[in-house]
Amino acid sequence: MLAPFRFEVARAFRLVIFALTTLASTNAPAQESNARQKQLHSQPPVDAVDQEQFVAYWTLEGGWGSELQLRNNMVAADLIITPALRSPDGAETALSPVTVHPQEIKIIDLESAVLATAPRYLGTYGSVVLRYHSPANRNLFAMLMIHDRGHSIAFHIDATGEDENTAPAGREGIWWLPNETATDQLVVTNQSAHPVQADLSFYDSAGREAKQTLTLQPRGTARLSARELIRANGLSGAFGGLRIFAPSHGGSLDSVHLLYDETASFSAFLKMFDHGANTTLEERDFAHTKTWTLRAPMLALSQPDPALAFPEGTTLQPQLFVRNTMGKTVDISLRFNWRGVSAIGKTAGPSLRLGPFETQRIDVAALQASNSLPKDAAWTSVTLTTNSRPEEVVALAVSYDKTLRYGAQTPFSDQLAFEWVGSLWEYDVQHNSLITAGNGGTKPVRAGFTIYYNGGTQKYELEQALQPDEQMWIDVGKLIREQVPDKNGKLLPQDLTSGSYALRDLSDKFIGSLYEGKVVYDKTFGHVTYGCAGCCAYSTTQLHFSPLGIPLLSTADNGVDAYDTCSSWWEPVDESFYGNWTTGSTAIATVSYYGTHTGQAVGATTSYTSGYLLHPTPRTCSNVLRSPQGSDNVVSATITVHFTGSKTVGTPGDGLTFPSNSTCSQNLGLFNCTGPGAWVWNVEIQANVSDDASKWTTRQSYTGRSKGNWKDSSGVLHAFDDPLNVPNDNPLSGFVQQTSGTTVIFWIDAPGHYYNYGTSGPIDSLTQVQNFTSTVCSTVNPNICSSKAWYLKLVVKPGAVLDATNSAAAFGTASTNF
Amino acid sequence: MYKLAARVAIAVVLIPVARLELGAQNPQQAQQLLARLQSAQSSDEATEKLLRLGSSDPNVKQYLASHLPAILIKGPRDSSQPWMNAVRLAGELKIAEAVPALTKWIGLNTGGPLTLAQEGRLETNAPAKALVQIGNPAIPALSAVVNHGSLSERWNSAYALNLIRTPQAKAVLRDHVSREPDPSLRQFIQRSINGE
Repeated sequence: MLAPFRFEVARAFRLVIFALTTLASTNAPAQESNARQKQLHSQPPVDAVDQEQFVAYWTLEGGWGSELQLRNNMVAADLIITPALRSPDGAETALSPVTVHPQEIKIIDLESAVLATAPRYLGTYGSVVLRYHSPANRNLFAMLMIHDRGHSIAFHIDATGEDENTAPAGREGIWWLPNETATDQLVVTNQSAHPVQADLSFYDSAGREAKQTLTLQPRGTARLSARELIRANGLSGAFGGLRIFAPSHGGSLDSVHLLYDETASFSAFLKMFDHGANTTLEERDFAHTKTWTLRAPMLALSQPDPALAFPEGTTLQPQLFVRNTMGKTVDISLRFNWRGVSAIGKTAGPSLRLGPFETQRIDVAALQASNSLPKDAAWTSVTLTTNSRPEEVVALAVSYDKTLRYGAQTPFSDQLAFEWVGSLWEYDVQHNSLITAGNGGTKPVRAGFTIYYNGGTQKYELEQALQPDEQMWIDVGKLIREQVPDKNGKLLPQDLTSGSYALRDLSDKFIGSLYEGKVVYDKTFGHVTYGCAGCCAYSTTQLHFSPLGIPLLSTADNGVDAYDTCSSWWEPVDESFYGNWTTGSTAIATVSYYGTHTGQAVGATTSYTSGYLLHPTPRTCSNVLRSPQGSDNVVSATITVHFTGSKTVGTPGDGLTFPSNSTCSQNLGLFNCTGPGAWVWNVEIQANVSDDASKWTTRQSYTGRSKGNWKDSSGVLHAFDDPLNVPNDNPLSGFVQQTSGTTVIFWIDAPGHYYNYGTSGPIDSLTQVQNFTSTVCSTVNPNICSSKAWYLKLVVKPGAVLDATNSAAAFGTASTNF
Repeated sequence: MYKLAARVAIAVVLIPVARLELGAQNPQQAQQLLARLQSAQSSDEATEKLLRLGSSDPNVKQYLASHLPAILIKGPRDSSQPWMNAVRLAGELKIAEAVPALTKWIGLNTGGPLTLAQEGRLETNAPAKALVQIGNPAIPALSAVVNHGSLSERWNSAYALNLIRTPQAKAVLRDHVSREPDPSLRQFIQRSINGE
C-alpha cells in the first residue's frame, strides 16, 4: 500500500541507520486435565529459510530521496536483512546487512547507503528486494518512504511478497487528474527472474478502453505517465480506470501510481489493487456475511478535525471514486459511520449501479451539504458492499481543499485480521499520529492496542470493547501529552517521539474482525498522510498431540496449534476447529465436538478436524480452511496390589526378591522382622498394560501419620506424632520387573517402621498410616497414566508388640484421625 | 562395625587430614559454631550457619574437614541430633576427609518409617547418604564395604554406589555382583546395572 507523505526537509538528512527504539482414577487410566495438557504440549521449531520481500519503487533522482523502514515482528529473535537495489533494467546491488531486534524499527536512508556502497545508483530509480533468513515471510514488516525534498512531498510504499504462481493476474486502479498541472508516475515492476509481458489498459469513466502492450525485463521496472498515455489514446475526463494484466506470471507484477504537483504542493497516492482470476468470496469474506465488503477507515469530511491543524476556514471536498473492473453490471451500496466532536452515528449512503468498466464519482461533500451526513462531522469510515466477486470493484477515497494544498486520503481494503503490526508513528511539535481500529465483523469484539517504544523493549497497552462497525480512535500525541495511563497504569514518556504499534482482536484470534487505519499529520505543510499496518496470519497447523494416547474407556483431549507468521510462535487455536472432529475408526476411538477423544477399543486410528484460519498470502491474508490430522493410540493400563499369599507365578511370573536387609520373608503380608529390626508388610504391585511393559514408567508416593511413644535408656516414654509426606517414593529399578515383550509390570515394596524411633531410642507403641498412590505412565503417550490408591495401617501395642489384628493393608485410603 | 572400620582404613588412609588454622575472616566464629553444633539446644542453628560459611569460605570448610571426623567417629550418643547434624555437614559440604568416620557407621540404622524406595535412597541411613553426597572420593571406602562388610553394610554400600552412579561406582558394582553371596542383594545389583 502507498500513501502520500509530507516531510520536513531537515528530517530528510538522517543518518544512514538509526534505531527508533524504538488418569488419576482408582483403576481406569485417567487423563490430565485439558488445561494441564495445553501447558504441556509443545511443537517443534519451524526451520528458518531464505525469504524475500519487494518494494516496487525507490528513487534517488534529483531532489528525491528514499528511506527504508524495517520492523522485526518476531518476539524472541533478531532479524538480519540485506536490502538490494534493482535498477530499471534489473541489475542488482546489495547494500550492507541490517540487524533489527524484536519489535524494533530501523531506518535506512538509501542515499547515504548508496554513497557508501554503490554511488552509481545516485540519480536513478528502480525496485528493492529485501532478503533475510527466518521461519516466516511476515517476520518482517517493511515499507519505503519516497520524498521530494525540495517540495516536501512524500509517498509511503509497503513491501510485499512475490506470488510465484504463474496464473494470469493483474493490477487494477483508478486514475485521477484533479488539475492540468499535476504529474503522475505509473511504476510497474517485475519481481521475478522471468520476463513478463502485460496488457496495459486505460478506461475513461464510461468504460471505453485504450490498450497497449508492456514488456518488463526480469527484475525490471517501467515508469510511465498515465496522463500522457490517456491523452495520446484519445481518452478524456478527470478520472477513469487502469488495468495491468499479465496472461502468465501475473503474481510477479507490482505497481504504484503516484500523483504530485510541486507548484500546488499537492500529492496523492492512487492505490492499486491485485486482481486474481481465482479469488473466491470464501477467501475474502472474513465476517461471513456472504457479501464482499471494502472499507476505508478515516475519510476526513468537509469541516476538518481541528486536530489536523489546517488553517482556519479550510473546507475539504471529500469524494469517492468507485470502478467496476469487469464487463458486466455490478450493484454497490455505501454506508458511513461518522464521528463528530461530540457525537457518532451511522448513515446509509447511495446505492450505485456500475456498467461494464465504468467508474463513478461520489461527492461526499454534497451528501453533507444535503444533510445526508452531518455537516459538523469530521471523520467517517466508508463501507462499500457489492454483489460482485472479490477484487472486481476498486475504490479511492480522497479529501482535499479546492487548492489541493490541504487534504488527506484513506485507503480502501477488504482485509480483516486478528492482528495488525504497524509501522512508524510520530509525535513532536510539528507531527502527530491518529490510529484507528474498527470492528468489521457482525459480533462485538474486544480490541487491544499496543505501542512499542525504546527499541521495542517497552510497551503501552489499551483495550476497548467495539460493537460492529464501531471504531477505537487513538490520538498518540494526546496519550503522551496528557499522560493517559494504560490498562496497567503505565504512562508514556513525555519526551517520546516515535515508535511502532500493533492491534489485536482479543475476542477472535483465528480470523479476527479488525480493520485499521493510521494518519500522520504534519503542521509544517498542512498535509495528512496515511500509513498501513501488516496483517498477521497462520502458516501451519499441528494437533497438540500426535500420537494422542487415549486410555481405554476413558478420555483424552486434543486440539490444534497454529504457527503465527509474525511472531514465529505457536498459538493454540482450538475453538476454530470445534464441531469438525472425526476419527478414522469409531470402533477404536470416538471424538466429541470439542476434540475430547474416548478410547473404545485398544488399537490405532487417525483423527481429523478442520477449521478456518487467517492464512498468509504474498500480499494479503486470506480466510482458508485448514485440515490437520494426527494419529491416535488407544491403550489400557490397570494396576492392582497383592497384599497376602505368594508373589505372582505364571508367564510372566514375578521374579523379584525382597531384600534381606529390610524384610524377612519372600511371601506377602505382615511380618515382625527381628533381623533388620522392623515391622513390615510385603506387597506386590502389578500393572497390566496393553502394549509393552518396557514402554511405561513407574511412580509412587505416600502421605500419612506416624504416632506413638519411644523409650529412653532410663525407661521413660516419650511421645511422638509425625506427619508423613513422601512425594517421591518411586520404586528403584532393582525392585522393578518390566521385561520387554511382556505386558505385565511388577514391583515390590515393604512399607513399615523400624524398631527404633530415629537414633533416639526403641519404639514402645505405634500407630502408623501410609496412604500410597502407585502409578504407571506411558512413555509413548506421555499423557496416559494409570494410578491405584492403597494403604498400610501398622499398629504396635505398648511393649513393642505387633498388633496383627488391628494392622491392615488394603485398597483405598485409611483415616489419619487417630 | 569396628572391625569393618579397621579394614577400610587401608582404603582411606591416603586421604590427607591436615590440621589447618583458620584464615583471618571467620576464625573465632567457626570455632564457636562448632562448639554450638555439639549442643542439642543450639545444634540446628549452628549447622545452618556452618553450611553457609562452609559453602562460601574455603578456610571454614577446611577447618571443618580437620575437626568433623573426630566428632563423627564417636557415633550417635545420648543426644543424636548434634551427631546427625555433623553427618549432614560432612555430606552437604562434600568433606572427603570425613569418609573414614562416616564409613564406620554405614551399617547404622537411623530408624523411622520405611519403604524400599526410602531404603534404596538411604533415607534411613544418614552416614551412607552423606557418602553419596561426597561422591567419587567415597568410592574406595564403599568398595571395601561392599566386598567385606556385614549384610546390612553391604546393602547400604550397594545402595550408595547405585545412587552415586558415576562410571567408577558402576564399575565397583559390576565387579562385585558375581561375588555377592546374598541372592536378594545380588539380584538388586544385577537389576540396577541392567536398568542403567
